[in-house]
Amino acid sequence: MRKGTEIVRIEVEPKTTEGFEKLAMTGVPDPNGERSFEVTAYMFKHFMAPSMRGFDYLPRLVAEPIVLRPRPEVLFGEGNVTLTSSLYDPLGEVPVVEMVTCAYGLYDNTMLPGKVVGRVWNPLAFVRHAFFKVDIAPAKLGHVDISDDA
Amino acid sequence: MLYALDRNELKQLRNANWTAELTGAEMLAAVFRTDQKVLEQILPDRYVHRLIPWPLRSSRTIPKLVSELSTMRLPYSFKQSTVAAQGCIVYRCPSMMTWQWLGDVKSSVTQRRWQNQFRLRSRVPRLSEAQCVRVLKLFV
Repeated sequence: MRKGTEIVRIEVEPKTTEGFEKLAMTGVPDPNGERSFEVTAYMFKHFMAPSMRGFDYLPRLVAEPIVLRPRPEVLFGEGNVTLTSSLYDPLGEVPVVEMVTCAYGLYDNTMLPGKVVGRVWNPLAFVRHAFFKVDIAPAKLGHVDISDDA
Repeated sequence: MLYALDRNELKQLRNANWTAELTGAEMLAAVFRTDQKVLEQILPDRYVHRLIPWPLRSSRTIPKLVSELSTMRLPYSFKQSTVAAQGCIVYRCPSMMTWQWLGDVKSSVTQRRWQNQFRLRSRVPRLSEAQCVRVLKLFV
């Protein structure tokens, strides 16, 4: 929920303990012999300036390898995801075409050191999507088309 | 506390190899396939320039770098990728994050190998297009 709007709704029916193959993930043992999986998460790292006029630095695309160690009770199943936009969160722009799988359970994860793999050279175009940290910019830009075609 | 450390201890701290451990993280993950065309609009390639793959260090020659960039599709290059983009939402991860010191890499060969194993596996050129999982990770 964000300001009275449900922007994310996940409905899952956990059924089975097998599901990593759907994600094309193959486990490898860690030093303790436990089964573990590796996921590389790509995230934008950004921080608004105190004056709210731009970012302190160019937003960066960060690649972060994460080692997932699912506990045996992790369950997989079919589910549904509903993404909804609010005035502050244009999350509904991401369409859910097809569900792959859902998983629920406890994990023992390790976040390995990440790397900056890119930078956003057009912060104005990015600012609308910085909605998880800032409300003002998405609201002000919500009805403004800043694409090159405009 | 940091100010209680002497110069040598501070140096060791800066050179330490830290990883973040999230033990007992309760996670609900929903992996879905989304529309690649839409992602191109949201995350167009022109936003992100000067992509820097990890293993392409200064020791590599420029022709080698150009060759590797042109022959593979980067997983975060939604526009060029031929594999349908996937989205992933990780919901509720309330466990406390703790930082674990892996120790000095020079004195801990096993830990270094283990870490390198994953870091190498994470490097972009090691992933084929079929193996690449595009993750648009939205933390809620």
